[in-house]
Amino acid sequence: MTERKGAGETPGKKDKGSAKMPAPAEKHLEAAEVFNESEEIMTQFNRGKRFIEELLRENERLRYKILHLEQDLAGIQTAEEPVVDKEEENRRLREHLASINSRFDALKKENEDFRRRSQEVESQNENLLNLYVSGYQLHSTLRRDDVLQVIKEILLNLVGAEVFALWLVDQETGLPRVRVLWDEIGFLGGKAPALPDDILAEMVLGQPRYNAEPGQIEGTVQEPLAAVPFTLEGKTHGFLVVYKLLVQKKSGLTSLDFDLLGLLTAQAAGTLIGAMLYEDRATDLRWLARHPGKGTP
Amino acid sequence: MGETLNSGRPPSDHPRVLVVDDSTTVRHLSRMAVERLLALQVDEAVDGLDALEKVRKNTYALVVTDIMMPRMDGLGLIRAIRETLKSDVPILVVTTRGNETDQEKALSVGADAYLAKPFTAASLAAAAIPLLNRTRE
Repeated sequence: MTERKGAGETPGKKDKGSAKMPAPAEKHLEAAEVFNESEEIMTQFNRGKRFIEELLRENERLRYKILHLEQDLAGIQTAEEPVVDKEEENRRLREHLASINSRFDALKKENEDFRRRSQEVESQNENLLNLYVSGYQLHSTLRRDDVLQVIKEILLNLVGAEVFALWLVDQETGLPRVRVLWDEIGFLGGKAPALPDDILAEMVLGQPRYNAEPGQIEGTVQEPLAAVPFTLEGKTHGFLVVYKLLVQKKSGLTSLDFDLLGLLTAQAAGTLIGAMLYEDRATDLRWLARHPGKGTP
Repeated sequence: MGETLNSGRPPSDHPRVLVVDDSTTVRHLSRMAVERLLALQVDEAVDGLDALEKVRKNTYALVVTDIMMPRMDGLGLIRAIRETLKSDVPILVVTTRGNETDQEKALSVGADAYLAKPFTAASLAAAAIPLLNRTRE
């Protein structure tokens, strides 16, 4: 500012009264030069001033920008760390989720196994209960007709047979004779048909014959659903033949039914023989009672 | 054998169920189902008349009856229970025939539900439970 103040003073005023006075033309020229110089200096000065002012403003602007950038950078730096943390957390969560899913799948499979086993146990309980009731009833009497009645009830109520025949081997002739024919719907025309020779041969050999497909509820005279012999000590004492099941027995003959039929015929053979022996003995006793001292009939 | 059977029976103060069937095998299986699976007492009747007498004298939570029986069949029993005794005891009918006629007849004379033979202990229990719950309500 001091420089500017000095430069702003006119040469004429500065030297007035203290210097040797030049000629007027020279003075005029000199003054003009001085003026021009001063003008130029002022112009340069002002230009410099504006330049400096611009520099200052630019400086200010850059500082402001730097400040912002620094803040942004700081923000980015602080933001970058959580992203890394979150990725790590995300990875751990994914692993945890995969572990949970894996355990869930294992538990689901285990649960399915338990459910299946529970159903099997329940089914076996049902089987055992039916077998128990059948066995209990079969051994609850020594009368042949009652045994036959029990067999009929089991076939009707537990197996769900609608048409069936029960044959017993006549002790005297050795030929099979129909003892029970259940055919309320007239499927067999009121008469039990003789078994085809091949099935009869299997009965004699003590081999059961099942022709039942799953869901099949009706057989034919030539191919009944099931033919199962009553055998005791290797000898066939009779057989039962199932021709048709109740319409609601949509499953057809199941493994439970095969078990029931097997048990039925196995136990029925013994029970029937026992009942026949008991009845024969009872007959003998009655004869002896009526004919004392005459020996056996 | 008998003791083994009796040992699993529910206490005598439990509600009673009347099982009506001329088949000893069915009565036996029904008894096992009701006693073992439902923990209820069981009385048995061999036909409709026998059952009617028992219903007249006792209070039952449920009557399970067959249709085809000598002397008085299941339909006659249901009519007598509803019309003569004016009882609203739940009645479950067990039918041998799977056709709808028997079932519709049974429902029309006052049965509450039906179950087709052959049945298992579990299926009998499953059919009886809703009717027993109705009694409790």
